Amino acid sequence: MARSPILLSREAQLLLLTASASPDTTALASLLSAGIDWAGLCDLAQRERAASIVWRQVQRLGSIDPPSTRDGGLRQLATFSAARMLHLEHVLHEILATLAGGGIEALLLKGAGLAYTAYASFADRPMGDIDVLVLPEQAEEAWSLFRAQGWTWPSAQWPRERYSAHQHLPPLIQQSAGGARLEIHRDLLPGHGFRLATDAVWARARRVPANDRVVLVPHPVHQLLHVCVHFAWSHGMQWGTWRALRDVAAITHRDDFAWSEFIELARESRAATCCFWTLRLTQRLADTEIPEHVLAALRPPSPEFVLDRLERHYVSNLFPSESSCPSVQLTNWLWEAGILPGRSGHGPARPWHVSERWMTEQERHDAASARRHTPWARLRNFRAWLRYVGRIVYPHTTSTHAGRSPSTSAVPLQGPYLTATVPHPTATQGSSHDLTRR
Amino acid sequence: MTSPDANGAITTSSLVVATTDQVSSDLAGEAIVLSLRTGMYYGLAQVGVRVWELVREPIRVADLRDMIVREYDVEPERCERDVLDFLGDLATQGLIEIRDEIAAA
Repeated sequence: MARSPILLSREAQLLLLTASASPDTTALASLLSAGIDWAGLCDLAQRERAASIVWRQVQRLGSIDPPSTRDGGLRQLATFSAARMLHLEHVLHEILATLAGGGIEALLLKGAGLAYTAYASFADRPMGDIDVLVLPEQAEEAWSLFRAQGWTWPSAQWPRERYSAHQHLPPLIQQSAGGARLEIHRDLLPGHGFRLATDAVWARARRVPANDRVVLVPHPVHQLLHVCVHFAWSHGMQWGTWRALRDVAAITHRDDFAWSEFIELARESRAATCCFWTLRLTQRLADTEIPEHVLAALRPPSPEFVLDRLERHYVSNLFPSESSCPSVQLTNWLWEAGILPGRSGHGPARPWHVSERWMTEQERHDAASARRHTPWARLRNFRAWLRYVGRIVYPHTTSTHAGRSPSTSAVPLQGPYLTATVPHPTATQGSSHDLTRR
Repeated sequence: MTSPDANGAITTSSLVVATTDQVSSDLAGEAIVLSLRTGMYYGLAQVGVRVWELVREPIRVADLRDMIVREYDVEPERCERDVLDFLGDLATQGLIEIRDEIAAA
């Protein structure tokens, strides 16, 4: 049986297995035994800010250690990540104290909110920045409060006008010891046709203990909705995959998760397809059980054959690799085919409109230049399109149904994307190194 | 931070405790300690993790040494030397402080 070229590398498989609420140690050990490109895994882990969690899981296996020559890579990244989280938690509590001092109530969004609810500790949910939601009428006041405290606003990088209709104000940066980034939100979802009243988020918010204080966090159904929309819409299912799938697994791990309420919320807020794809990918890739009736209630009205091919496309684009879609335009079309923004009620807005709006003049110029192909380049691109579509539509694997492994897979795991044939992605550098290394 | 002897060195009768301007967490059996004052972070492994656990509450160095000797296969003299060196490093980095009061035996 031929192998499908649209598959995840072993490193990506291992990374995604660590996103499960209860990672399968047998599956992890099998992947490690089959051979892992540690440099590739480090690159992926760094890109996804997953190093400390991956390291912890690898260490749990005990007898299978990274090769000593590469040990420093993952271990050092993990140590840095853990230290970074210690720093961010400290900064978060300083932020909350500042807001409380100004009489402004804040609700912890995204990583910070999930860290104190869905995870065992703050350090267990790596994040890059801190997001807080405040009442819309207090957002400017909160932003000014931090500016007065020395937080900086790189105005050239994040001009005011780009944030006039955005869900958060321009990010603020704390430059002292370690650095941190703060985003003050006035709304939960981007204003692209989703229908969720922020008042409802405030009304359902819960108070939970966080060290020596009590913090306000969204209700779990709002947290899950936020994760799904952020991943499927804002990130186009191409960025932040590990964190999104892991958040889904962590939020839904509780037996008492209110699935019926979530389905209703997803439909009412026009986020059903975003939720469907995020949940389906979590089920497929992160060894997480999602009730079938939930997926059935949220699925787009397309035959399984179509959903299956779209899923293959989305999976092949979760991480940078040689098998990713060769065309931005095709990627956009296939995103629309799965999310159905018109049918969902999103109007003409699309995620890439936001990216285009935020481009600098130089970036616009470069993008326009890149689109001006010679006839020969156009032909090459067209052939790449055809090859890619062919791989999506006619996969040479036995099945893509969860729980059935391709017969060619050397690794006895569950799930459809198991055989490693893709070289590890190009290194993604540039995550913050603003804490002093040992 | 005060020193319990004329030379400012830690002795077995010193009372040591982790400072308040640090935070720490566990990472696969290692302790990651971040100094909030300097932004420097440190990874402690093996016996260092145990020592760090013990200094989270004020403890006399002699008591700390005795616990390590009981828990690990190490000669008391060597243990004392290593513990004093290690605590000296932690103090230099501002991660522990030496309390004024000398613990009564």
